[in-house]
Amino acid sequence: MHPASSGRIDSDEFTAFMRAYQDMVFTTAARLTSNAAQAEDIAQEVFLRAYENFERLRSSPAAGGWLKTVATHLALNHLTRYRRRWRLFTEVFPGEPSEDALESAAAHVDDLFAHTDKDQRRALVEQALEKLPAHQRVPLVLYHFEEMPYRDIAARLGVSLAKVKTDILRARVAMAALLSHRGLDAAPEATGAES
Amino acid sequence: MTTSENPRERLERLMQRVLSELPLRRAPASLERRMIEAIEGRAGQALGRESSTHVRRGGFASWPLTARAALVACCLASVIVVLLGLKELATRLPMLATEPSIAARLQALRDAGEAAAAVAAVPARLIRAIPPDWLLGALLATAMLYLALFALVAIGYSTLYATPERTRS
Repeated sequence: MHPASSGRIDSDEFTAFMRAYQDMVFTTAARLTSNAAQAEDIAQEVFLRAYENFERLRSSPAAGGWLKTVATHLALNHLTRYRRRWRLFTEVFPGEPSEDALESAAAHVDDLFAHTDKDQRRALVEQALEKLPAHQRVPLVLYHFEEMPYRDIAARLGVSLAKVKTDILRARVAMAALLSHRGLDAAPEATGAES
Repeated sequence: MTTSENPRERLERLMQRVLSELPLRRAPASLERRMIEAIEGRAGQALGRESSTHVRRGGFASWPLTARAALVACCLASVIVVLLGLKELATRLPMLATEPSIAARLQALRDAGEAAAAVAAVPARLIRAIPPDWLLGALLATAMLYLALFALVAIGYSTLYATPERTRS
């Protein structure tokens, strides 16, 4: 029986529940899809499912985890059509970045910490994350934000473990390069702001 | 930073640090309104479905008494009508068959049946005329082509479309 028709769900209670978690759900979907409109659609679907399971979720301490898992699952399903393209990319451009490239990328991120304040860094990182191609952004987000191990990411995306590791490494290098370009632009403003 | 840290680990640590600074993004204000509308829409659909399927899902025992009585009466009446009809048919059928107009129609039906049987016999004669080896070869070739096509489609599907989670599910 539908929970709404049974009259067991207090709409105010569900609204409060939604308000408590909507930023987290939206953020999860937005970081994976890199598209606010799609993330809103996914968030809506997540909360509709939560509504159908609200009897179980309303008092569950695991409600946040449940919502995050469903949001991740729906966002990845949404991206399914592009997965073949990711595989193609990793197969056409195999190989890992060189040690020099990794050194340089780490130095860029270090510079960013040295020359920008927290708010500027947040804005720059959000922008850089959105600029990453999906085949790099998605595994990076799953690893760093969703804290999924490499093996689980590989299984979830249907690619090999080695490819996931390479994609994430390349994503970090690409992020560092994007942050470097934008960080240098932002640096004078930061210096000005601090003085 | 530890001195033994290699560039890969250092980059991972720095990236984790910079990404962990990101706050949650604010959900758009329209999300709550859309949710309320969607929930109301679903609740309306569910109520409609429930009222229309209540009798169907509840079974005979949950039907109103008048509906149950009417159904039993209808069933009894149907049984009586069918029995009476069968009895009437049994008494009239032999007489009908001897009537000239009915007999002529029955003969026409028999002729049509014989003609259809003659037409159906042509392919059977043709098949009998083909050597059995040829038929066996054609059947084997068809089966092999079918299997090859099936394998081709399966390979194409698994290469271009299927993902591990789909396969698992």
